[in-house]
Amino acid sequence: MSEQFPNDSLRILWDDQGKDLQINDLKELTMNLQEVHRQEQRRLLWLNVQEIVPAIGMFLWFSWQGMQATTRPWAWFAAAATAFGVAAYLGATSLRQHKRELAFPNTTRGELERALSQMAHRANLYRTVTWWYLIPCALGITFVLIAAEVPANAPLTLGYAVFAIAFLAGLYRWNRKIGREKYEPKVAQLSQLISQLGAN
Amino acid sequence: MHPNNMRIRVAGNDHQNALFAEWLDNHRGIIVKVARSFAAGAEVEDLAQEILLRLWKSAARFRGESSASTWIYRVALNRALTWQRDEGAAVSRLRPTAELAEIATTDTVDSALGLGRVYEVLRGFPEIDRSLLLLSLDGVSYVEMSEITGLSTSNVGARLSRARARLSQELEADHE
Repeated sequence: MSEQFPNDSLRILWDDQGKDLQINDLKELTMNLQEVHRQEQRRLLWLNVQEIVPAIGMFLWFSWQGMQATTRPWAWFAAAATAFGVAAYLGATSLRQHKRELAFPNTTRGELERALSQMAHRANLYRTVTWWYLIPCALGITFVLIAAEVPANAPLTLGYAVFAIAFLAGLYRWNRKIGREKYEPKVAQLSQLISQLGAN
Repeated sequence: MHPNNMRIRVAGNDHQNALFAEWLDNHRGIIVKVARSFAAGAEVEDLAQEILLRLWKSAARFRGESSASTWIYRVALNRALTWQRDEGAAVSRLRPTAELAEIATTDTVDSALGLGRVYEVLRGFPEIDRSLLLLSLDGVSYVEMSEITGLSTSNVGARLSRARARLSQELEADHE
C-alpha cells in the first residue's frame, strides 16, 4: 500500500501513529470510562421514561381520585384512561423501536441505519406530539374539569380553558422546536451518509 | 505487555478491561488515525475519547469472530461517522478523561513532515470514501473492508480505485 504515499518517510510516520496516543493511567482511564458509561446509561434510561413516568403517575392519581369520588367518578376514570393511553402508546412504540434496532447488522451501513431509525423515531414522536400527547392531554384536562364540577362556574371554566390552550400551545411549539433543531438535522445527516454508501 | 496492563483489576468485568488494555497496547494507532481523519484541532481529542469509550463498551461483546483490528476499525469508524462536533463539549463536561489519555496533534508533531497534510486531504473526502481510504492506507483487505462497512467487495474496489487516484494526485501535487 506504500504506493499511496509519495515517500517512505511519510509511510513510516503513518504506521507509527500509535505513539501519539499517550495513556497516562490505564487503570484510572478504565474506571473513568466505566463511570461515564453508567452516566450514559442513566441518561438514556431517563430519555426513554421521561414521558412515560408522568403519564403513569397521572393514571394512578386519576384512578385513585375516581375511586374516592362520590359524584362523577366516571370523569376521573376517563381522565385516567387518557393518561394510560399516552403511557401505553409510548411504551409500545419504544419497545417496537428497540426490537427494530436490534435487527441491524454490526457494520457501518447497519450502524448508520440503526442510528437513522433511532433519530427518525424520536423526530417522529416530536412531529406527531399533537396526536399522542396534546389531544389526550386536552381531553384529560376536560374530564378533570368535569369531575371537579368546574363547568358550573362559567368564568372559571373560561379561565381554565384559556390557560389550558396556552399551555398546550406552548408545549406544541417547544416539542416541534426540539424535533426541528435536534433530531431532524441528524436524520438529514445520516440519510446523506447512507446515500453515500449507495446501493450495494 | 505494558506494565500498566498488569494493574487492571478494577470493579466490573476483568475480561473486558484486560481485552481493552490489550487493544490499546497493540492497536492504539487505529484510534489516532480514525480520530484525526474525522476531526481536526482540539476536537481530535474529544473524538478519540468517544472512541475509547465505545471500544471499552464493545470489549464485552467481542467474541473473536473477526480479527481485533477489524473489530476496532468497525467500532471506531461507526462512532466517528455518527459523531457530531457539538457533542464534544458535552462529553468533555462529563469526564476529565483528557487528563488520562492525551493525543498529540498533527499540527505540532509532524505537519512539516506532511502527515498533517495527509489528514487535511483525507478530510476533504466524503465520509464513506474517507473510511475506505483510511482502511486502505492501513493495508486492510477488500474482504475486511466489506465486513467493516457492509459494502460488497466489488463496490469497495470500484469506490476505492477512484478515491486512491484522487488521493495520490493531491499528495503528489504537494510534493512537486
